[in-house]
Amino acid sequence: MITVKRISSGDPHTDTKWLVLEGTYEGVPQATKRRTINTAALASGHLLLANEKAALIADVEEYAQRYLAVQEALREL
Amino acid sequence: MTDLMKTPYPRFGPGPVQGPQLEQTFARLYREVLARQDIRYPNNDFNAGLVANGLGGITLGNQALPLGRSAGIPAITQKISDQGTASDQRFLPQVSAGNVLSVQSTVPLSATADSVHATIAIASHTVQYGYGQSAYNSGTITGLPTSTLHYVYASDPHFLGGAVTYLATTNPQTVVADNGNYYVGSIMTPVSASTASITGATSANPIVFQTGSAHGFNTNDQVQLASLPGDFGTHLNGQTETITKIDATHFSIPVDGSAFSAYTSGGTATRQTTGTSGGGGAGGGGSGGPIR
Repeated sequence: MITVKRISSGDPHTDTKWLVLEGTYEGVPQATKRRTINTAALASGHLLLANEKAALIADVEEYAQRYLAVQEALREL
Repeated sequence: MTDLMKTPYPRFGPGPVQGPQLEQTFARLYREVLARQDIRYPNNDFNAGLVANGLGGITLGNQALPLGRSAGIPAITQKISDQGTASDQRFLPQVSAGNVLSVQSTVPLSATADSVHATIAIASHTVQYGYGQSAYNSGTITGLPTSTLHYVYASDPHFLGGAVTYLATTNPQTVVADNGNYYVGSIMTPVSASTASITGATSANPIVFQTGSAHGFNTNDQVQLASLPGDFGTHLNGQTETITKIDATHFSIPVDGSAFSAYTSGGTATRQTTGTSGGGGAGGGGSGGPIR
Protein backbone atom coordinates (compact mmCIF):
# COMPACT_ATOMS: atom_id res chain seq x y z
CA MET A 1 0.00 0.00 0.00
CA ILE A 2 1.61 3.24 -1.16
CA THR A 3 0.50 6.59 0.18
CA VAL A 4 1.52 9.97 -1.19
CA LYS A 5 1.44 13.19 0.79
CA ARG A 6 2.73 16.70 0.38
CA ILE A 7 5.72 17.72 2.48
CA SER A 8 6.08 21.34 3.54
CA SER A 9 9.51 22.75 4.26
CA GLY A 10 8.05 25.27 6.67
CA ASP A 11 9.56 28.04 4.58
CA PRO A 12 6.94 29.83 2.42
CA HIS A 13 9.57 30.89 -0.12
CA THR A 14 10.77 27.30 -0.60
CA ASP A 15 7.23 25.95 -0.70
CA THR A 16 6.36 28.45 -3.42
CA LYS A 17 9.27 27.34 -5.58
CA TRP A 18 9.15 23.60 -4.93
CA LEU A 19 6.32 21.10 -4.50
CA VAL A 20 7.56 18.11 -2.51
CA LEU A 21 5.66 14.82 -2.61
CA GLU A 22 6.58 11.91 -0.36
CA GLY A 23 5.68 8.35 -1.23
CA THR A 24 5.70 5.69 1.47
CA TYR A 25 5.28 1.95 1.22
CA GLU A 26 3.70 0.50 4.33
CA GLY A 27 6.18 -1.59 6.27
CA VAL A 28 9.21 -0.60 4.19
CA PRO A 29 10.56 2.72 5.49
CA GLN A 30 13.65 2.30 3.32
CA ALA A 31 11.44 2.81 0.26
CA THR A 32 10.15 6.18 1.41
CA LYS A 33 11.07 8.60 -1.33
CA ARG A 34 10.55 12.30 -2.00
CA ARG A 35 10.04 13.90 -5.38
CA THR A 36 10.86 17.60 -5.56
CA ILE A 37 8.99 19.31 -8.39
CA ASN A 38 9.76 22.76 -9.74
CA THR A 39 6.41 24.54 -9.52
CA ALA A 40 7.35 26.72 -12.51
CA ALA A 41 7.46 23.59 -14.65
CA LEU A 42 4.01 22.62 -13.37
CA ALA A 43 2.68 26.10 -14.08
CA SER A 44 4.09 26.03 -17.61
CA GLY A 45 2.09 22.90 -18.27
CA HIS A 46 5.10 20.84 -19.30
CA LEU A 47 4.90 18.76 -16.15
CA LEU A 48 1.58 17.40 -14.94
CA LEU A 49 0.97 16.76 -11.27
CA ALA A 50 -0.80 13.50 -12.01
CA ASN A 51 2.19 12.26 -14.00
CA GLU A 52 4.62 13.29 -11.25
CA LYS A 53 2.57 11.49 -8.65
CA ALA A 54 2.42 8.38 -10.82
CA ALA A 55 6.19 8.50 -11.34
CA LEU A 56 6.76 8.73 -7.59
CA ILE A 57 4.45 5.80 -6.91
CA ALA A 58 6.24 3.74 -9.57
CA ASP A 59 9.64 4.58 -8.04
CA VAL A 60 8.53 3.65 -4.54
CA GLU A 61 6.87 0.46 -5.75
CA GLU A 62 9.96 -0.61 -7.69
CA TYR A 63 12.32 0.06 -4.77
CA ALA A 64 10.04 -1.64 -2.25
CA GLN A 65 9.63 -4.74 -4.39
CA ARG A 66 13.39 -5.03 -4.86
CA TYR A 67 13.94 -4.54 -1.13
CA LEU A 68 11.31 -7.14 -0.21
CA ALA A 69 12.77 -9.59 -2.73
CA VAL A 70 16.20 -9.24 -1.12
CA GLN A 71 14.72 -9.76 2.33
CA GLU A 72 12.92 -12.87 1.10
CA ALA A 73 16.11 -14.21 -0.42
CA LEU A 74 17.99 -13.59 2.83
CA ARG A 75 15.39 -15.54 4.78
CA GLU A 76 16.01 -18.54 2.56
CA LEU A 77 19.76 -18.55 3.24
CA MET B 1 13.14 23.39 47.30
CA THR B 2 13.82 25.21 50.54
CA ASP B 3 13.30 28.94 50.39
CA LEU B 4 14.98 30.62 53.37
CA MET B 5 13.05 33.83 52.77
CA LYS B 6 9.83 31.93 53.31
CA THR B 7 10.97 29.55 56.06
CA PRO B 8 8.86 30.29 59.18
CA TYR B 9 10.73 31.45 62.24
CA PRO B 10 10.99 29.10 65.25
CA ARG B 11 8.18 29.88 67.66
CA PHE B 12 8.57 29.79 71.46
CA GLY B 13 5.94 30.15 74.09
CA PRO B 14 6.06 32.95 76.69
CA GLY B 15 8.51 32.60 79.57
CA PRO B 16 12.05 31.24 79.72
CA VAL B 17 13.25 28.96 76.95
CA GLN B 18 14.61 25.60 78.04
CA GLY B 19 18.01 24.42 76.71
CA PRO B 20 16.72 21.15 75.14
CA GLN B 21 13.92 23.04 73.44
CA LEU B 22 16.43 25.49 71.96
CA GLU B 23 18.72 22.64 70.94
CA GLN B 24 15.87 20.89 69.18
CA THR B 25 15.01 24.05 67.30
CA PHE B 26 18.59 24.58 66.16
CA ALA B 27 18.89 20.93 65.18
CA ARG B 28 15.84 21.26 62.93
CA LEU B 29 17.23 24.51 61.52
CA TYR B 30 20.59 22.92 60.68
CA ARG B 31 19.42 19.53 59.46
CA GLU B 32 16.22 20.41 57.64
CA VAL B 33 16.86 23.93 56.37
CA LEU B 34 20.52 24.95 56.18
CA ALA B 35 21.80 21.50 55.17
CA ARG B 36 19.65 21.64 52.03
CA GLN B 37 21.66 24.68 50.94
CA ASP B 38 24.97 22.82 51.45
CA ILE B 39 26.15 21.23 48.21
CA ARG B 40 28.14 18.64 50.16
CA TYR B 41 24.86 17.17 51.38
CA PRO B 42 23.79 14.60 48.72
CA ASN B 43 20.13 15.57 48.94
CA ASN B 44 20.74 19.30 48.75
CA ASP B 45 18.26 21.42 46.82
CA PHE B 46 20.66 21.91 43.88
CA ASN B 47 22.00 18.37 43.48
CA ALA B 48 20.61 18.02 39.95
CA GLY B 49 22.91 20.79 38.80
CA LEU B 50 25.62 21.22 41.42
CA VAL B 51 27.36 18.74 43.73
CA ALA B 52 30.62 18.81 45.64
CA ASN B 53 33.11 16.34 44.21
CA GLY B 54 35.10 15.69 47.38
CA LEU B 55 38.22 17.24 45.84
CA GLY B 56 37.49 20.71 47.07
CA GLY B 57 35.60 21.49 43.88
CA ILE B 58 32.20 21.02 42.36
CA THR B 59 30.67 18.92 39.59
CA LEU B 60 27.95 20.29 37.30
CA GLY B 61 24.92 18.06 36.85
CA ASN B 62 22.53 17.79 33.89
CA GLN B 63 20.35 20.57 35.28
CA ALA B 64 23.20 23.09 35.10
CA LEU B 65 21.74 24.94 32.14
CA PRO B 66 23.38 27.85 30.32
CA LEU B 67 21.03 30.84 30.24
CA GLY B 68 18.42 30.40 27.55
CA ARG B 69 19.43 26.82 26.71
CA SER B 70 17.64 23.53 27.26
CA ALA B 71 20.65 21.19 27.19
CA GLY B 72 22.79 20.82 30.31
CA ILE B 73 26.42 21.84 30.38
CA PRO B 74 27.61 18.21 30.80
CA ALA B 75 25.72 17.18 27.66
CA ILE B 76 27.14 20.07 25.69
CA THR B 77 30.72 19.73 26.89
CA GLN B 78 30.61 15.97 26.32
CA LYS B 79 31.17 16.83 22.66
CA ILE B 80 34.49 18.48 23.44
CA SER B 81 37.50 16.43 24.50
CA ASP B 82 39.80 17.42 27.38
CA GLN B 83 42.16 18.68 24.68
CA GLY B 84 39.48 21.04 23.35
CA THR B 85 38.84 19.19 20.08
CA ALA B 86 35.34 18.25 18.89
CA SER B 87 34.58 14.66 19.85
CA ASP B 88 32.84 13.98 16.48
CA GLN B 89 31.52 15.77 13.40
CA ARG B 90 28.01 16.10 14.80
CA PHE B 91 29.36 18.90 16.95
CA LEU B 92 30.01 20.82 13.75
CA PRO B 93 27.20 22.38 11.72
CA GLN B 94 26.04 19.94 9.04
CA VAL B 95 27.12 22.35 6.32
CA SER B 96 30.69 22.16 7.62
CA ALA B 97 30.79 18.39 7.95
CA GLY B 98 28.45 16.77 5.44
CA ASN B 99 30.33 15.62 2.36
CA VAL B 100 33.29 17.69 3.50
CA LEU B 101 34.86 15.72 6.33
CA SER B 102 32.98 12.58 5.32
CA VAL B 103 32.78 10.14 2.42
CA GLN B 104 29.72 9.14 0.44
CA SER B 105 29.20 5.45 -0.31
CA THR B 106 28.65 6.15 -4.00
CA VAL B 107 28.30 9.03 -6.43
CA PRO B 108 24.59 9.51 -5.88
CA LEU B 109 23.72 11.99 -8.64
CA SER B 110 22.62 11.32 -12.19
CA ALA B 111 20.58 13.40 -14.60
CA THR B 112 18.35 13.00 -17.64
CA ALA B 113 16.49 15.44 -19.87
CA ASP B 114 13.57 15.53 -22.22
CA SER B 115 12.96 18.20 -24.81
CA VAL B 116 12.24 20.88 -22.21
CA HIS B 117 13.31 19.99 -18.68
CA ALA B 118 15.91 17.98 -16.83
CA THR B 119 15.52 15.60 -13.91
CA ILE B 120 18.15 14.81 -11.29
CA ALA B 121 17.97 11.44 -9.56
CA ILE B 122 19.62 10.99 -6.18
CA ALA B 123 20.41 7.36 -5.38
CA SER B 124 20.11 6.05 -1.85
CA HIS B 125 23.50 6.31 -0.19
CA THR B 126 25.28 6.52 3.11
CA VAL B 127 27.70 9.12 4.39
CA GLN B 128 30.52 7.85 6.58
CA TYR B 129 31.59 9.96 9.54
CA GLY B 130 34.01 9.26 12.36
CA TYR B 131 31.18 8.35 14.71
CA GLY B 132 29.23 6.21 12.25
CA GLN B 133 27.00 6.56 9.20
CA SER B 134 24.01 8.56 8.05
CA ALA B 135 21.88 6.67 5.49
CA TYR B 136 19.87 8.72 3.00
CA ASN B 137 16.91 7.45 0.98
CA SER B 138 16.77 8.07 -2.75
CA GLY B 139 14.96 11.05 -4.23
CA THR B 140 14.21 12.99 -7.38
CA ILE B 141 14.22 16.65 -8.43
CA THR B 142 12.37 17.44 -11.62
CA GLY B 143 11.35 20.37 -13.79
CA LEU B 144 14.91 21.74 -13.87
CA PRO B 145 16.59 23.73 -16.65
CA THR B 146 18.77 21.74 -19.05
CA SER B 147 22.49 22.34 -19.66
CA THR B 148 22.90 23.91 -16.25
CA LEU B 149 25.24 23.19 -13.37
CA HIS B 150 23.15 22.40 -10.29
CA TYR B 151 24.21 22.06 -6.66
CA VAL B 152 22.10 19.50 -4.81
CA TYR B 153 21.51 19.66 -1.08
CA ALA B 154 19.11 18.65 1.67
CA SER B 155 18.33 20.01 5.09
CA ASP B 156 19.52 17.55 7.75
CA PRO B 157 20.86 19.56 10.70
CA HIS B 158 20.96 16.59 13.06
CA PHE B 159 22.65 14.05 10.76
CA LEU B 160 19.58 11.81 10.88
CA GLY B 161 19.48 10.74 7.21
CA GLY B 162 16.38 8.92 5.99
CA ALA B 163 13.84 10.43 3.61
CA VAL B 164 15.01 14.00 3.11
CA THR B 165 13.87 16.69 0.69
CA TYR B 166 16.51 17.18 -1.97
CA LEU B 167 16.71 20.64 -3.51
CA ALA B 168 18.77 22.02 -6.37
CA THR B 169 20.23 25.45 -6.88
CA THR B 170 22.46 27.09 -9.44
CA ASN B 171 23.98 29.30 -6.75
CA PRO B 172 26.45 27.44 -4.51
CA GLN B 173 26.10 30.12 -1.85
CA THR B 174 22.53 28.94 -1.27
CA VAL B 175 23.89 25.60 -0.07
CA VAL B 176 26.15 27.08 2.56
CA ALA B 177 23.66 29.74 3.65
CA ASP B 178 22.10 27.37 6.19
CA ASN B 179 24.15 25.54 8.81
CA GLY B 180 21.83 22.52 8.62
CA ASN B 181 22.35 21.79 4.93
CA TYR B 182 23.91 18.56 3.75
CA TYR B 183 25.66 19.13 0.41
CA VAL B 184 25.07 16.10 -1.81
CA GLY B 185 27.10 17.20 -4.83
CA SER B 186 26.95 19.04 -8.12
CA ILE B 187 25.90 17.89 -11.56
CA MET B 188 25.50 19.40 -15.01
CA THR B 189 22.06 18.60 -16.36
CA PRO B 190 22.07 17.22 -19.91
CA VAL B 191 21.19 19.25 -22.95
CA SER B 192 17.59 19.05 -24.05
CA ALA B 193 16.93 16.15 -26.35
CA SER B 194 16.75 17.83 -29.75
CA THR B 195 16.15 15.99 -32.99
CA ALA B 196 16.44 17.51 -36.46
CA SER B 197 15.12 15.92 -39.67
CA ILE B 198 17.72 15.58 -42.40
CA THR B 199 16.68 16.56 -45.90
CA GLY B 200 20.01 16.57 -47.71
CA ALA B 201 23.60 15.30 -47.53
CA THR B 202 26.68 15.74 -49.72
CA SER B 203 28.80 12.83 -50.88
CA ALA B 204 31.93 14.79 -50.03
CA ASN B 205 34.70 15.23 -47.48
CA PRO B 206 33.54 16.33 -45.00
CA ILE B 207 29.90 15.36 -45.31
CA VAL B 208 27.54 18.33 -45.05
CA PHE B 209 23.98 17.69 -43.89
CA GLN B 210 20.99 19.89 -44.54
CA THR B 211 18.05 19.94 -42.11
CA GLY B 212 14.40 20.67 -42.86
CA SER B 213 14.26 23.40 -40.21
CA ALA B 214 16.71 25.16 -37.92
CA HIS B 215 18.66 22.41 -36.16
CA GLY B 216 19.72 24.48 -33.14
CA PHE B 217 23.07 22.68 -32.91
CA ASN B 218 26.41 24.35 -32.25
CA THR B 219 29.95 23.47 -33.26
CA ASN B 220 31.33 20.63 -31.09
CA ASP B 221 27.86 19.34 -30.20
CA GLN B 222 27.63 15.58 -30.50
CA VAL B 223 24.71 14.24 -32.49
CA GLN B 224 23.54 10.70 -33.09
CA LEU B 225 22.55 9.88 -36.66
CA ALA B 226 19.70 7.49 -37.51
CA SER B 227 17.47 6.33 -40.37
CA LEU B 228 19.80 7.62 -43.08
CA PRO B 229 19.47 5.96 -46.50
CA GLY B 230 21.99 4.02 -48.61
CA ASP B 231 25.70 4.31 -47.94
CA PHE B 232 25.06 7.09 -45.44
CA GLY B 233 22.93 4.73 -43.37
CA THR B 234 25.33 1.81 -43.68
CA HIS B 235 28.24 3.83 -42.32
CA LEU B 236 26.59 6.35 -40.02
CA ASN B 237 23.30 5.09 -38.55
CA GLY B 238 23.71 4.76 -34.81
CA GLN B 239 26.99 6.66 -34.84
CA THR B 240 27.58 9.74 -32.69
CA GLU B 241 29.58 12.44 -34.44
CA THR B 242 30.97 15.81 -33.40
CA ILE B 243 29.58 18.46 -35.70
CA THR B 244 30.68 21.80 -37.09
CA LYS B 245 27.87 24.29 -37.53
CA ILE B 246 27.78 25.92 -40.97
CA ASP B 247 24.51 27.81 -40.65
CA ALA B 248 21.05 27.40 -39.10
CA THR B 249 20.14 24.49 -41.40
CA HIS B 250 23.55 23.00 -42.30
CA PHE B 251 26.25 21.21 -40.34
CA SER B 252 29.17 18.97 -41.23
CA ILE B 253 30.74 15.90 -39.68
CA PRO B 254 34.43 14.86 -40.02
CA VAL B 255 33.72 11.85 -42.22
CA ASP B 256 34.80 11.35 -45.83
CA GLY B 257 31.66 10.52 -47.80
CA SER B 258 33.07 11.13 -51.24
CA ALA B 259 32.61 7.46 -52.17
CA PHE B 260 29.03 7.30 -50.88
CA SER B 261 26.17 6.92 -53.34
CA ALA B 262 24.00 10.03 -53.63
CA TYR B 263 21.72 10.81 -50.71
CA THR B 264 18.04 10.16 -51.41
CA SER B 265 15.80 11.06 -48.47
CA GLY B 266 15.22 10.56 -44.73
CA GLY B 267 17.29 10.53 -41.59
CA THR B 268 17.52 12.26 -38.23
CA ALA B 269 20.21 13.83 -36.07
CA THR B 270 19.66 13.89 -32.29
CA ARG B 271 21.88 15.94 -30.03
CA GLN B 272 23.49 13.93 -27.26
CA THR B 273 25.78 16.47 -25.60
CA THR B 274 26.81 20.02 -26.18
CA GLY B 275 30.36 21.08 -26.78
CA THR B 276 30.28 23.23 -23.66
CA SER B 277 28.64 20.79 -21.25
CA GLY B 278 31.95 19.39 -20.01
CA GLY B 279 31.68 16.33 -17.82
CA GLY B 280 27.91 16.50 -17.56
CA GLY B 281 25.69 15.33 -20.34
CA ALA B 282 23.22 12.50 -20.35
CA GLY B 283 23.70 10.28 -17.38
CA GLY B 284 26.73 12.22 -16.32
CA GLY B 285 27.92 11.51 -12.83
CA GLY B 286 27.71 13.97 -10.01
CA SER B 287 30.69 15.14 -8.10
CA GLY B 288 31.06 15.10 -4.38
CA GLY B 289 33.57 16.91 -2.27
CA PRO B 290 33.61 20.55 -1.29
CA ILE B 291 31.66 23.15 -3.20
CA ARG B 292 33.84 24.98 -5.67
